[in-house]
Amino acid sequence: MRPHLKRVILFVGINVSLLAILDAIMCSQIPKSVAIKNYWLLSKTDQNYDLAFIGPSRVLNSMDCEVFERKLNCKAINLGLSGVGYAEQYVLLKLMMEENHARIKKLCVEVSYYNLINPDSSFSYPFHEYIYLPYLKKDGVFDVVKNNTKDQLKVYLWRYFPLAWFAEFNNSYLKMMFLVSNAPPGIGDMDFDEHGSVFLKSTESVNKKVAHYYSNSTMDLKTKVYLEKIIELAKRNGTEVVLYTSPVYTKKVTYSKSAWNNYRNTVNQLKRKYNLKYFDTEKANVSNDESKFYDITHLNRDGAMAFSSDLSDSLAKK
Amino acid sequence: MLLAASCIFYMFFIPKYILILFLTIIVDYFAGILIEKNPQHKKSLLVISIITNVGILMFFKYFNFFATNFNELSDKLNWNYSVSLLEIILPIGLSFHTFQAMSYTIEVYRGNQRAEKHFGIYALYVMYYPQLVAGPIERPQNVLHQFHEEHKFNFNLLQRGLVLMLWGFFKKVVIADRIAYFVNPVFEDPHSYEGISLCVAAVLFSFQIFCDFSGYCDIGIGASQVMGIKLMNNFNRPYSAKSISDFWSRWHISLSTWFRDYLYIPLGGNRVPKIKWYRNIVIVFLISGFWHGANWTFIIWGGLHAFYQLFGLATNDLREKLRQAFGITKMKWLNSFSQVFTTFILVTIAWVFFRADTVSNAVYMIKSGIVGIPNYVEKVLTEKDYLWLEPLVLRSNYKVELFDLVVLLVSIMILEIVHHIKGEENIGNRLLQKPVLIRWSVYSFFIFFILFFGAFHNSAEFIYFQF
Repeated sequence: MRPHLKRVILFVGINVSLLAILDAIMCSQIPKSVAIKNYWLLSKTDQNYDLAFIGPSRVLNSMDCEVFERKLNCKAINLGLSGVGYAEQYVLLKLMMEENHARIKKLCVEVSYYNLINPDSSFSYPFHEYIYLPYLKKDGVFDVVKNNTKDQLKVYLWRYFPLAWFAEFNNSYLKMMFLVSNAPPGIGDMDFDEHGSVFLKSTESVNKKVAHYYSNSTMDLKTKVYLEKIIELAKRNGTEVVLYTSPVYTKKVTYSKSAWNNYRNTVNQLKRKYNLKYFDTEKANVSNDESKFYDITHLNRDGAMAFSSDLSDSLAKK
Repeated sequence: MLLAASCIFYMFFIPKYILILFLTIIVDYFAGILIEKNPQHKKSLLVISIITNVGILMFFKYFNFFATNFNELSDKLNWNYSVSLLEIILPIGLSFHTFQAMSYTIEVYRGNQRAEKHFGIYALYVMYYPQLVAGPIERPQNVLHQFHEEHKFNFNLLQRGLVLMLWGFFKKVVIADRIAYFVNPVFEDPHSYEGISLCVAAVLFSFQIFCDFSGYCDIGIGASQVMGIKLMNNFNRPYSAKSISDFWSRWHISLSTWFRDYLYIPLGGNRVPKIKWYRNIVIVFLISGFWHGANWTFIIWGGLHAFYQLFGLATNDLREKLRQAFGITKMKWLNSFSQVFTTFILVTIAWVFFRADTVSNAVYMIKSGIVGIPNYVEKVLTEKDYLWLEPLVLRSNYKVELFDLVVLLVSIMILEIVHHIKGEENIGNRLLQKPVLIRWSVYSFFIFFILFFGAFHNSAEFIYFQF
């Protein structure tokens, strides 16, 4: 038994060491795939921004930073990511501010009905845990990933067993590393501009799209907690926080009374609790103009420009 | 300990279903003892045991199938009567442990096996977790005595078991689950794909089902070997078979020998007039198909294999003469290749029925696949861009999917090389004869290959778990 045990220990030792080396290599190499917007944002260190916008695709597609820079004479960045909930927005901002020392003067956080209800009903994959696994050794990231992954035991395995995290999502990582320029939508947001925005071209009339009626009146508690964490994180780092809502094509969107009231109560509570400014721009000037929309909830290129201009005026006034 | 582990393992799926398993265990346990004690009543006791086992199998697995077909018939004949369907989930591994339990009572009845007096040992024989859900379907002579023996730590067995498990994981996680990513969408909606894509999906499915099922068996047999208990081998390079009967001596060996011993031979086997011999073959394959699943696709799959066998037997002399006339018999490699290739294609066509959701989908896939080949050749010859690659990778973004396909082809090549090197021998035995440096390198290579190229995320369940 003993000679066998020695051999087993040696074999396991060699392989675990190799795994640990590969783990370290992957942790450093995968975030270099800067065609993935998250990694592009995290590749920047010690940056100063006057204005940053954070939220899901409605931020990614609607905020034209050039307009803000021109009208407000500032440096702006779009932190919007496609199909993400507040938990992912929080972990991204945390890494940017606390690890990459990004300084942001004013953070515009998008709040909307869709962001505040259960993220699983708004987004198909609200927390892209695999993007953040190379950072899992950091406690802050680990906690968020753990809270947003169904199988929590797995998260411990990802953290403590070398390369387990890589194995789980190896296909996505290998494609990111070797095929990123050819990756299809979903692997990454390939065509974001130098400010991080992706603009949409209208392909068909929004009036032809099916109208949306929203009746879910339960605002998700966990989601609200992460929204509050974003606000607190920003405030801790000396950032002014502003809330706003991206426009929807109002002719095609209706809410049940209770859904609308609960959503507005949640936003008002936050406003009061953190003493925040809120720009209620869901029904902004553009929201009746069909030509400004890509679909019912997303602006197109023209819409993004027009809305950014309106919002920059509002920001300048207050 | 093993029995407790097996109970927990089984209850992991649907806990209350363990009661069904216990019912069959109790019936067969007492049936075995009573058959031995009362030889004059042994036939009726065997019948009771078989009726219990088959009855439970029929109820859970086939009730809805018969009810649906009855309702359709009733509809057509305007009987105005329908049987309501049951909303039940099939107990996991039911077909497997039912057959294993039946082999016990039949062997006790035949006097080849002493009745097991220890209830725990008998329960373990039926429930032994490494092979509970998808076989191999063991015989009492092979395993019952092993449960009585004391198993001391054996490093060699441990090594062999772990090597086999590693090999099983490679087949399942790297090959089968990666193929599932390509093949599942095609079988779910074959009408959206070109003929050549359907052919590629069918060929890939042949590898998927082999790697999925034999991968499970390797993991199960390996895990059992680690604990010192040897289970029978269930596969022996089935796609190197030179005929359909050769295929069945290499594929799911524990099931094919079960049917041979408990159905084919009792029916008279081949020692009966030719017409009865052919009938026996048809019966065995149809029942084998039906055993796999309560769907006409499985019955046709079985029927197709029966047809292959009969056609092979009827044309054996003619084919031999043709081979001689064309001089193929003189070129041994060509002779072997043509036999292996033909068998593989026939088996693949049958797998289409096995995998397809409906008979009409399967027929469509085969028809379109055959028509699609010449169309595709024409496309390759005329297309200037690399767009002709698209239907081969079964997706539109061929550059990205090509990556998956290359990984897959390399993995299948590794599979075939290993099969070629190990021959008929167990992979563990062969590898353990090599120097330590080679062994360790091979182990590490496979560990890293699985970690880098295994399809872990949303990995598919084992195909044979549904049976």
